[in-house]
Amino acid sequence: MPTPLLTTEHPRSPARPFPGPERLRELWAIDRHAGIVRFAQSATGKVALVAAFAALARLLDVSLPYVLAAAAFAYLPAWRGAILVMAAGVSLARTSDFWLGRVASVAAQELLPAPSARLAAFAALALFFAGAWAALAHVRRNPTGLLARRPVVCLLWVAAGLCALASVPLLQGWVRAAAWLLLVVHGTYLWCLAYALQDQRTRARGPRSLQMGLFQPFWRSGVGSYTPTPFGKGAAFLRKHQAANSEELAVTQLKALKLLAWTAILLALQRVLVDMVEVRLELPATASIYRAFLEGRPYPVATSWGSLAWATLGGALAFAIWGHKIVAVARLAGFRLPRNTWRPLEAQTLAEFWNRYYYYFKELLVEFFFLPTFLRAFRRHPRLRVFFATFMAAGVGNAAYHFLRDIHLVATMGWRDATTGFASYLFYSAVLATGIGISQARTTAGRQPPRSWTGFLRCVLCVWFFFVCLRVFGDETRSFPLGDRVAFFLSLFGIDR
Amino acid sequence: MTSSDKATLRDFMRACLASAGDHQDLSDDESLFMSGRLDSLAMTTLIVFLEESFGVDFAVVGFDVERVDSIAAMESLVDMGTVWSA
Repeated sequence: MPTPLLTTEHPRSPARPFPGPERLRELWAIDRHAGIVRFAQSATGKVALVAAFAALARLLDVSLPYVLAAAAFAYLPAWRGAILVMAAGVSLARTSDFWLGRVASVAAQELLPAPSARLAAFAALALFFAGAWAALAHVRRNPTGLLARRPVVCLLWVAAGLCALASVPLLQGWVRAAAWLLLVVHGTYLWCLAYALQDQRTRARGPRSLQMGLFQPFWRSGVGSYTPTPFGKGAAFLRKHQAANSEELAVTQLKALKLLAWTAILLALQRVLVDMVEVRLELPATASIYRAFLEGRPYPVATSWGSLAWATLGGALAFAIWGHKIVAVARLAGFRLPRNTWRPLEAQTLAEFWNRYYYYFKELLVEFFFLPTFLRAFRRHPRLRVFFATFMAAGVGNAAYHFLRDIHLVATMGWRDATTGFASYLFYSAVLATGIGISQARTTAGRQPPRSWTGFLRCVLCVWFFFVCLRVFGDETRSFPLGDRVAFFLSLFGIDR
Repeated sequence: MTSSDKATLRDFMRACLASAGDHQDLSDDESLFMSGRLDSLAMTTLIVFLEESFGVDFAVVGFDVERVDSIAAMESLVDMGTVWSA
């Protein structure tokens, strides 16, 4: 039975002039108050809840139509499939500029007028989704075939084939633009398709139309910048996390409201910090720091460290805000999804950090890279088995994901410059994978983090210091070559080239 | 799977949950991984346990999260592994 908010003791009675932490936690726990949960199930309560959510969403730049789609999804169970597919279709139709922007250089090279460029975009999207539909059908008919057993390997080979096709010099005009677009689309939706292919082998798999709707779900569409990472993983995970009755739905939606309110608080905090750090202290951005170093007029070491620390911490805050918005909309729809970012400042090991910082990306790497490797390689050597599987996930998988996500840079910069520029991220992935692999292996061997406060602080600071250092190599731009970044990194420790 | 084997499996899963700070009851059909009660590191520990204690070879039976997501599912998996290796 949840603890009632109202007790015989008024929160501001003389014995307790101000609400203590427990009281604040009680006030915050609206999803555990029986009366509020009951109210959220009534017609008035539903309207109030959605209105409150929409008001917060507007404050946080979450697109209102997708919020309404989430509410409709929650309250119209018979229409859920149709809502999912329609919202995905509307979102795709509205994103032609996004896809065109990805291959703008190719369109410019081919002197494509706008209508031809849009035709290429729609052709590429249609071709990809037709191919995905056929792939799902194939796996249903052949559940033991190669595509069913090794979907990611097959899809990565398709990506390689598309890379080769798009690079063929004979292609011209809108066909060349469409080939690049098909590669970009494939690199973006590859992971959604992988989850969908996996789901075809389960007993309770949904219809193919539902699977396709999850490629562009409304909870991802309404929030700013696009990501290839499936939030909510695939249909199987979403089925397990869907509210089973009206009470569960009400609790999940109240959690959605709480999460969005928390996001608004984080946004306010972000604005205060940005004002303090970037406006008043005038801390330069990391790109300025690198440029100044390369031009022979480096900033003081303390300023460089400050810039890196702010980029890491401020970046984590912005990232949390973004992920919370997506999960909140999914929760409004009735999916009891875990947060993407959860208390990253409490991570005591490198392995734990990734679970707390980017949960859905970690799950993607575990499912498609870690587990397949773990099940097959070094089975007689436990620590090497864990380390190698972790390296394949956090190193190889991580690099493959980001290279394919930004494959449009190959169209813009050419193969040589794009791959040379990616060397820094490859280095970052290798170091990150080694660190997490060692961390995992130590945990598997039974090593526990210290329980004291000083030990806790020491571990947390070490984890964040590692990521601040790694920031030099992992900022995903291709502007500064690896050698220059290494030189800059060494200069932070007083080592000049 | 014998009742003794099942008790061993159940004790192992309780220990995994306890190390994750989860001391709630565990029923045979309850979801362990897809519900988020246990994470991927616990899954690797479970895989090794099933391989060493029951001789399950995932390269032969194939790996699927649903097959290890509950005590009942693991019981079926072990029985299937026994049939495959017989």
